[in-house]
Amino acid sequence: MPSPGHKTSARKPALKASGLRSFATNPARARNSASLVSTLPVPTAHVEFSGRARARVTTAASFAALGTSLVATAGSLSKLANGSGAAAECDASSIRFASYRSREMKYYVEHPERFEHLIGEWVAVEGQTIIAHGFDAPEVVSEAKRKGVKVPFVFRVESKVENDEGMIGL
Amino acid sequence: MEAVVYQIQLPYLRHQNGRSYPGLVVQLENPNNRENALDLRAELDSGAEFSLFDGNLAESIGLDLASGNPFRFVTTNSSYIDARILPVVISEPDLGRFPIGLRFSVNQIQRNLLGRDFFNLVQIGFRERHLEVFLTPVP
Repeated sequence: MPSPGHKTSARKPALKASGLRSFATNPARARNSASLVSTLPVPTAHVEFSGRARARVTTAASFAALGTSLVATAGSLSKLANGSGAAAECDASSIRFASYRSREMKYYVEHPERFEHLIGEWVAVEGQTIIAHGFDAPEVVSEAKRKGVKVPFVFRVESKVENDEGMIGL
Repeated sequence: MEAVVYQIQLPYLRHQNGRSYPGLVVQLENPNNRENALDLRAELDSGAEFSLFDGNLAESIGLDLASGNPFRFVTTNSSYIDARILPVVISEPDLGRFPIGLRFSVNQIQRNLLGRDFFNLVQIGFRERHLEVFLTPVP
């Protein structure tokens, strides 16, 4: 299966008051945007939010009514409505919750039996298919491209980490 | 207090053993040929001063690893990881495209790391308790 690759998207214009109205009438968008408004450093009172899971917001007024159960504060919502301040930079239409290549990552995590004989090898995965594998990364990439994948998703299959082992970057 | 609004909220990536880590799937691109690109996963490592990718990946997008300027990482136990610096473009669908001088390891490494040079290009937030990463293009 050819890779979809990806296009980069230009930043959308800052949210205007009219934009707030439009996503406030969409429950999904409204709760998503509420969960993304964060204050740094995060006060403990704000840590309990999970707007994604529980909020069913249908109007802008309901945002304020949710109070401290969401990170969004009256102040930040006001900024959104006025199109001013850092909070106004939010564009609700571009909020994303899934990782790029999440399908392949899910396949990798949920099917260790397909990868355990490939530990230490490079693999190219497309959807739920291992397109190519081997110890030579450039060759794995070339094979994936020969099979029609424009931009292969490539990684090395790591060895298992035991319970009494931890990982550190460098 | 300064407020930050994030555009992307992602779960941590997962290993097969069930452990999670803050990571991102990005596209690595040869700056001289956009067709020469790969999708890769990388660990977000705020302790790394610079990003470090496996040198095999440089050659996989048509770059000559040996042509890069030498660079040496000093690890926490004072051992070294030798690398070469090569110009690439790192991109992510909603974050944008970032031309960067990327360090590629001369020897094999276990994981690709996106370090503070990448953090300087985007705004990143972590919620370890929720195993979530927040990102937005504005640093």
